[in-house]
Amino acid sequence: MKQAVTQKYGLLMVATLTSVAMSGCGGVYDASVSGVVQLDGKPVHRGTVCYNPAGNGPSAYGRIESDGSYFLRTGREEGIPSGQYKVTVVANEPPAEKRSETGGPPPAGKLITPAWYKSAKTSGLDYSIESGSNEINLELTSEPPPDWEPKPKRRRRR
Amino acid sequence: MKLRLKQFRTCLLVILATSSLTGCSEEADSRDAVVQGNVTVDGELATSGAVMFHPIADGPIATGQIHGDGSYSLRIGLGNYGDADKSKIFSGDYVATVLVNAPADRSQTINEGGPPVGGPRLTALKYAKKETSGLAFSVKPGRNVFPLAVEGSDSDPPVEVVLEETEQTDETLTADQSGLAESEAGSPGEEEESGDPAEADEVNSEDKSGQESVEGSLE
Repeated sequence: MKQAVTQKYGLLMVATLTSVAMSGCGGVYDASVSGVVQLDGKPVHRGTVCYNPAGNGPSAYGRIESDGSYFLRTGREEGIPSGQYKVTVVANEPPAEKRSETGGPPPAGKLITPAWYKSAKTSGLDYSIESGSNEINLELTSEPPPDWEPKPKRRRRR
Repeated sequence: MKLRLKQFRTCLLVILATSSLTGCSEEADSRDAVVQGNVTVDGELATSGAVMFHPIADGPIATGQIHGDGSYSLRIGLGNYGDADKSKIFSGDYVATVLVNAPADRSQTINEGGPPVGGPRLTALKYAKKETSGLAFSVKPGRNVFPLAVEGSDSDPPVEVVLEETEQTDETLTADQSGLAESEAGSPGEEEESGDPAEADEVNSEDKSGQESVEGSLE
């Protein structure tokens, strides 16, 4: 009987210890988001995902890994406040040269993801983030939305 | 056995007490705001570089290095060196500057055995100066998150303007020198000693204008 009681206390101690270890100061946001970014069914191997809040609040960002996966950070902290978000995706190939001819910065590489995914107005990727962990796989297509009009190309200066 | 139980209980109490004591460490002064964010250049997360927040009023500049995942957190001086992300700065109005460079090309060095040539600048020039960055933020007490979405160096003005700007910095330099010259206006011959003849000429011409203004004010 007494042994059972000590065991109970032992368990309690373990539980307290783990809760102490887990609490800390982190976990400022109530939701976390991860997923995979695909373009026409193939994973996008680099780039940036941005969750822009529909209302006020900071945007959350995630880097796309080589396998297409991403998870979101708001500032330095992992996670995102729950709510409505418009998602944008920007991915460029790495620049071909290290420097431009005049020693300036290299011109940006070719866009991997279509240009309409750059803007929250045209991306059409609206998501509702619930508190807790969310898995959101972004499936992009190279088929432009019906109202899409490409912007005139920006002139590149040397 | 009862003794053991008591020991367990005290042990538990001690753990609870210390755990409530630890928590986040507070800085002693009135720094009350945590500032974090992410930096994107033309939509893509930066992988290196630095963010600076310049206070509008008097106060220390807060700095933050951009981490590999594009995020930054601000600190003053060393900040909270135990956990940099919990560093606090003073709340108030700030203007931010951002500079992101491509990684240095380590195959090339300035001199043999010298440091590698720095990578080219990736952010537009205007974000490097607080007068032109246009990135104003009001830091509130507590937690602040400021994503900085800046344009790349593609949007820099044409090269001629950049040259003009270097001329401007020259002007400010010579203006400082002429300021010095004004204090010793009695001996204008001394400037001849400076090494570079072209530079000396420039300094001289600036000096004349400086002297003229002095004379003007005397009259």
